[in-house]
Amino acid sequence: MTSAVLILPAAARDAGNALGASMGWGPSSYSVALSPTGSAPATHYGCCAEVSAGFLALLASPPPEAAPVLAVLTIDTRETADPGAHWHEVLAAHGLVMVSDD
Amino acid sequence: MANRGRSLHPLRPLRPGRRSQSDLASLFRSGDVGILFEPQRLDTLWQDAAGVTPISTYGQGAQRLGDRSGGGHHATQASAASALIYGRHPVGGTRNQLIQTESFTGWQQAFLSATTGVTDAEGGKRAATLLRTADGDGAISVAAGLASASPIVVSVDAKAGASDWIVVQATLLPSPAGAYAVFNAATGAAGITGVYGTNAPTLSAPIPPVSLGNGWWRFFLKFTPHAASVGLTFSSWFKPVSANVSNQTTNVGQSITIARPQVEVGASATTYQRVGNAHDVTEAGKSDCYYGLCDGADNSLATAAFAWGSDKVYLCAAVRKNSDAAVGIIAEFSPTVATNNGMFQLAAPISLANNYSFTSKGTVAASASYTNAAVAAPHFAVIECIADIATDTSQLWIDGVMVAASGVDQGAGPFGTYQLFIGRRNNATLPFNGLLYGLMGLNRLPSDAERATARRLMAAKQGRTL
Repeated sequence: MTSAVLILPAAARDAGNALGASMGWGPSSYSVALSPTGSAPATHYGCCAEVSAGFLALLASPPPEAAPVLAVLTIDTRETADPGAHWHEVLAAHGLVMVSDD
Repeated sequence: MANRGRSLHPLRPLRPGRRSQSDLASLFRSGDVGILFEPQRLDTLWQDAAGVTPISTYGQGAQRLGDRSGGGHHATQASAASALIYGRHPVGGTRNQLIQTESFTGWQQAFLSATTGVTDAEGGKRAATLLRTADGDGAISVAAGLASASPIVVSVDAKAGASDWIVVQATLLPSPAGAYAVFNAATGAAGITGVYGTNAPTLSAPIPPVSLGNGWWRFFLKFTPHAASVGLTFSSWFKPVSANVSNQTTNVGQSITIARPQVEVGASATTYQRVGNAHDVTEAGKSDCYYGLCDGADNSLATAAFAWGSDKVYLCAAVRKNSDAAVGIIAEFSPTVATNNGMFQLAAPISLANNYSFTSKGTVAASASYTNAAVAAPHFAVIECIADIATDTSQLWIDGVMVAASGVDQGAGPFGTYQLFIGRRNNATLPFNGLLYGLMGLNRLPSDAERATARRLMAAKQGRTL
């Protein structure tokens, strides 16, 4: 299994969730609100998941219906026992932080 | 002893009426309301929220945790990306930072081929023979993360083949940067060492090679990374060479056999740990600890709403807190403390500091928080939380010691009817970064003896004794 961090612009979240649902990932894959400051509104949504080699192969050779989402999807993969560190490193690299609920 | 080919541990579901003091479920009496989640119980772990497909291997996501309290308050997650990750590590935790240390699956092979399943120093089949098949800097390598500028030790078993010499090398970022040590695998003699690059690491005093018998040696490279390399990845390289040199781009046909690679942070080399995927780590002679990983990003589960049924709470959780860098919710009864009465919450940490915190709220929140360097992440803990709205009790206990208490008037109870969220607030924010070995909640205050049993059994899940 491989840790994968996936980030979508907020405008593409619904399409990303629909694509994830069509792949059997459930209704709300992109559940983490992100923004440059940590304040609402979210500019992006992300998720961090353990993915299989099959999933990565699908990304390398995606079906046509995935193209609009993949065109704006940021994805970073790593073999790690610490997906939390992976997640925060990728967010930092892209200038994003989790939106606080405070 | 070889440590390979281990399968998931067998489990027998317990029958009602046959629960003993070795089972946390025995603490639930008829009429009690609560929850009991034990991620090592394979009879309660499912890959899907509906509970159709059981967990079958390490690294899989658990979208359903069955409640063993008897109340049927199962915790689920509709989205696979947010499932808790099922894994195991040896007692004491994971040290080996590599992956696939016996299959070498996913390792990069440059100008050589690796034949796996070769006999190792202990008679197992955990070794790989590296054969240079083309001109170039032939090496097998694998990457790992570099979290700090602390010393790192790379270890590997090696046996001479067509080559007597092996280069053990670490390549770091920003490139070029690295360190290497060359060894003679036929004699165990240490060869040349060196560092290179603008942000070169620092070599430490060499660790002497260790003879393993049958022509096998264990070799070590110890170095301290440059600060510029921290937060980036680095790779461990193993290269067969025909002489005492650090780099060789010819000599097709050179070969050497390696086994049991390990990369660890620390001043010395420790016992080898087998790593399958990153969530499947074992060590010969040590018990396995089974967990659900909350990744600090989006992993969380929730029960359906249920009535707590009293103004008292006892929580007991076995966790490993991985980070203090962001607020994390281990468990929260209600979507948020801010707008709901009759709720409770366990957080680790509650601020960007070394702490744990428990909050109980009738109509007013009473928090018992403990900040101390002794609980800085990474930190194993058995946490107990005790609350009684009527007596204005809110206590936080760690490993059997009360570390914080609040006598603030909590207003009126009882606790309400809510979902219990595990790992994130309302399945949305404040993700906990850590391992969950067990979580129980009870709507009464247990006796001292019952609490001692809960602590002991929870600590045992971490390989600890309390």
